[in-house]
Amino acid sequence: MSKPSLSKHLVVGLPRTGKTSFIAALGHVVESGEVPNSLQLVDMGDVRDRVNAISKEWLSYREVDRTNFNTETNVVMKLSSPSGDKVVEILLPDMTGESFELQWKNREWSREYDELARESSGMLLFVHPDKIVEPVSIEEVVQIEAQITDAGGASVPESQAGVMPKPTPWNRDFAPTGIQLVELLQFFVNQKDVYPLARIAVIVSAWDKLECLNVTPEAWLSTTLPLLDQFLRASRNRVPFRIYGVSALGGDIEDPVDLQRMQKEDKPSNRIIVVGQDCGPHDISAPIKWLTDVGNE
Amino acid sequence: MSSELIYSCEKKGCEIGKGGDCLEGFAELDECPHLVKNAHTGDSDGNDSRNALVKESANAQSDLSDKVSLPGTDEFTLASASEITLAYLTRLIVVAGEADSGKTTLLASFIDRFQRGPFSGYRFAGSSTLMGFEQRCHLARLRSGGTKPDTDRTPPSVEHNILHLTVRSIAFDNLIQDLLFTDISGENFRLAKDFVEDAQRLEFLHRADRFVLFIDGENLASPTRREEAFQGAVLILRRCVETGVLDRQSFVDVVFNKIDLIEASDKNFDTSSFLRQIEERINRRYGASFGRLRFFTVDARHISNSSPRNQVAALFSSWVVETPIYDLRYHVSDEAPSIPKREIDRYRVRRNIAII
Repeated sequence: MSKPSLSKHLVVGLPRTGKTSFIAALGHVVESGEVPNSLQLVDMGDVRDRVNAISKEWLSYREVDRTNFNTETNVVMKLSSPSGDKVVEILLPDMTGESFELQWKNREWSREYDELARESSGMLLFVHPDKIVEPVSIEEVVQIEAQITDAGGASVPESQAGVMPKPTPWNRDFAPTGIQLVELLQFFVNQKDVYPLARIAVIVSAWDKLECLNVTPEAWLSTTLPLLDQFLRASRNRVPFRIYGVSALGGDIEDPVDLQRMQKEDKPSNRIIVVGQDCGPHDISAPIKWLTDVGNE
Repeated sequence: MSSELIYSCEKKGCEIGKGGDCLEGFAELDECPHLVKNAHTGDSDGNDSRNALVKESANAQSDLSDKVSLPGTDEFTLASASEITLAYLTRLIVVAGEADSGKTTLLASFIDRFQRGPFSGYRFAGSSTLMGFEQRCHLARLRSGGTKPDTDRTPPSVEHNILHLTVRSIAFDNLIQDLLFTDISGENFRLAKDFVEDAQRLEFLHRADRFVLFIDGENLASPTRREEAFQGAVLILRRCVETGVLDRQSFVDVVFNKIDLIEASDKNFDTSSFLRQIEERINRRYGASFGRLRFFTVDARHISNSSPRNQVAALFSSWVVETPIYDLRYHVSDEAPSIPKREIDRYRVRRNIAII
């Protein structure tokens, strides 16, 4: 077995995009050994209690607790490759989405985070299909209204037709999701001499909700977040990327039918859905294997 | 020791520092993201001993000394844009025209178009002024609460606002191009039209890869206002030529905006025929004055306008790939001054212009 090499990866995502659920499911998979060809846990150090706590919630089919602002944790795991001949120590900072909001809004981050960013070679970038804010133009809405009217539908009521409400002043909260994520990525990609980011794994969370669309994660991203997709493609020479569809929870735990389906699985890990290049159907460690260049043998 | 807070604002044109209203319309000033509080401390007899500038952002954490600033801005100035021009081969596109002719609307539409997918054969590859673009899109978005798409008027300013965009060609993968667009108030050009000194302040045009003159199609569509609109635009060209800020090295695009209104008025006022006439008149008077003079028709406001006369994509593409610095076909005269062949040559400028 080789000497472990430390590989630090940033976990980036806006609020409620599945970052903590991912770490919870990952904690279970690497410890249980249930998923063939996944990374295996060697040691978890002093964050074991915290990871065990969130993994327990995950195992109990509960929504994994959103990270509290005051309890951000750097998750350190020593993992071995499936064949056991390579060991990597990964560091995943479990930060709240609000922390990333502050980054793109204020164009600043903490000195502590900066040090971590200067040492990180990979990034897990989380997007959630239910948390996308799209730039909807008035022009589009007017066109749709016209189409509805042409089709014989209800027209805009007379009382509203002449009203010109005072526009709301712009503020940064109005920025669409694609803009926010590109702003975050540009801090790294445009300063490669400072931040040695070498790979980005985009995690499209709650993939169970998108399976019915029968699209690849790449196709979904290019359709739903075109600005982010173009930016990633335009920057791929500097920072290669892959896109994964991941459902750490495996389904809708609020839906009794879905819940029953998941509870019937032989192994808890079987409820995990992972779609992407070079990965097994439940191997949630696959994005980390690619980021660390381990385990794809 | 006494201490008081004095407000000022990062937003150009906001009068809050002079006791006026918040430009963004916030009744509670603390809610405005652009507010800057100057902690002004002085001793008891009124002699200021220290000034501490404390930027308070709504959600910023308290100890700024623990923070690392990150790159990017809402908009560059001519001076700060050197951050881009010194790092990359950059196209500087100067967009000129009278107020409400659609200059800012066109610039804002670029980021809106890229948020729908690749545009004009290019992928979005980044922007150091992403929030500046977003802000300019706001009044055309549903989120603004408006019912009719609009664009904030650019306030007159001594400093010229500059937006930045990087694009990458889909067909030619190696082609990555940085573009800088000036977003200058129509008022600045009105002054340039009327006063030689103001025209001379536009000396940075020497560095421009393209001078784009917008003419408001709404005015051209009106039989009573069309001649005034045409003469106003011509006067801007004339002033720029007379003061030497545009010359035979300059590439000039004349853009007739709001083609939808022009087409709608064709039946009654034959506006398209008037457009052809003024193209001829401008060509006759200035065709030989510039390295190249071309004409475009666009509908900057309506992204979905797929009319062949909406030439936004062709206009954008030409800005990316064509520049007088490399295109020697347009500098055939022996009398023309030496042509800068490299980016660095642009610093050997005429008239000692100390800008980008």
